[in-house]
Amino acid sequence: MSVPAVDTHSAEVRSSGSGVLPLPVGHDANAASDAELVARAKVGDARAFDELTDRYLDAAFAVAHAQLGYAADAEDVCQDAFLTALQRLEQCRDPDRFRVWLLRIVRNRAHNLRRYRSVRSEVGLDDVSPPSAAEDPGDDAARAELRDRINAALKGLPPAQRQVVLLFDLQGWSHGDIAESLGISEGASRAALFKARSALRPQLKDLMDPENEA
Amino acid sequence: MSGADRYREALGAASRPPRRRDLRERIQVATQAELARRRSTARGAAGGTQGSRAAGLATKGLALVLASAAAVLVAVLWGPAVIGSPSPTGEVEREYATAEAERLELTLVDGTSVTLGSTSRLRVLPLREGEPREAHLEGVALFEVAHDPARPFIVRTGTAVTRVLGTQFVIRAFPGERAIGVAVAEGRVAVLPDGTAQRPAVVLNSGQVGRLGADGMFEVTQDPREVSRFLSWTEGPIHFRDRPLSEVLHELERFHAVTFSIPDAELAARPLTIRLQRDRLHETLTAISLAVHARYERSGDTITFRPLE
Repeated sequence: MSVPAVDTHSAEVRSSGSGVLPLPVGHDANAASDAELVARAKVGDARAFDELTDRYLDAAFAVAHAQLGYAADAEDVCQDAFLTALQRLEQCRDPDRFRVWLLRIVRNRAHNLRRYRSVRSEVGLDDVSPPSAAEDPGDDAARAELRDRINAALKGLPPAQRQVVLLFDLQGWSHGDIAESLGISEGASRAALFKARSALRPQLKDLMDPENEA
Repeated sequence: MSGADRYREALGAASRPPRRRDLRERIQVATQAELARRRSTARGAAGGTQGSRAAGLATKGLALVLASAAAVLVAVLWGPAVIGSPSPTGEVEREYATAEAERLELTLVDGTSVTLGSTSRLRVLPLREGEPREAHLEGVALFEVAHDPARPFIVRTGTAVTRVLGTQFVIRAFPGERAIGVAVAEGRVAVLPDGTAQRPAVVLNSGQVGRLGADGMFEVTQDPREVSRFLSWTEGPIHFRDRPLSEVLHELERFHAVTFSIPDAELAARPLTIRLQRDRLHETLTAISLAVHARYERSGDTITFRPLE
């Protein structure tokens, strides 16, 4: 079995009208493309599938958590969704857009879980616990305070707005990809982002650069 | 760092999975079997040796089909083990182990097939001329022993020794459980309850289940349906018949990385008869809730059942 050579991955650049946004945090322009990783995973390359997991686990969790409200449920859905994606890799018609296809699976799994969940004694979002010191050793008080403000602000958003703002502002997805993943129109994605930022702005106005408005 | 970078960094920190490392490991474990199946298929397509084996088995009135490749690991998790193509001499002791919600299908050097269940450990001793074939089990496993009259097959579990006379059977011996169980699907086994010849061996025939309790008492029941339930984990669904909720949930803990809690004693003792899918936790919990008129709440890895008011 031959392993596809690793190609230079072209950098992803978005123009938001008044300026160019930097690449999303953690993006590596020299990494293998999703299509290459999917091809390798199809023949059982565990490292390739690990890389895909690492790339899209945060996005998958964000979508699932926004729908379900409980981190433990979102984790279950993520595990189930990644396994399902691996089992059905041949059904991913455009491997370069694996992430869009994956998040559709996540969304469907989360939707199904909501239908089967028992009534809980208390309803509401649980806290997504901040990273432990071992996972985030460089954290300091200012960062922790900012993270808590963001977390509180996100909890006040409806699920759709929360998903869109995380996928757009954090993961760097286009409205087209977001719309296809979440089963909404591009217009709805733009509207959700606008509303989410409007809601977040009063709490975070010292952080949000007006040039980043889409 | 610009405001936009700080915003994005804080957004990431606020939305990241709180147990990201654990979740990644869970996904790695969950996908091992499928990745192994794909590697095996790719090797087979390239003319290599298939590492996995799907077995269709016909016994005396009891047909067994091992579960799909998606649920069975064909590569060992640790240790110097060979799967599918055993070493020619069997000179090396081999050890196999499974984690929660995993199964391992393997072929020993003598041709005996073993399906090792969840959270189980099997140690296979090297073959010696003129001596019995021997394995040590902690957990649960299905054995299809290759016939060899010159060399009986022995399985040691805790204090009991099961001597195989040519057959297919299941042994269940988890640490912490009060009884060791042996269920025979085909053929005969002889069980030495204390592992020595001081007590007479108890012979179990097809359709019989033997249970060795902590008090040393060995009970035998003739119940082919009970044998079927002993084997049900190899086929997928788990069968429970008039078992208390606490026992059902304890069994489920072996297939899912959760801990169950039932503060209400009456609810814990409430019996249910149910057939559950081993690998679908939420559907399983919903079915159980309906069956015992209860509700459940989840907090992290702990799931608590309470009666419906």
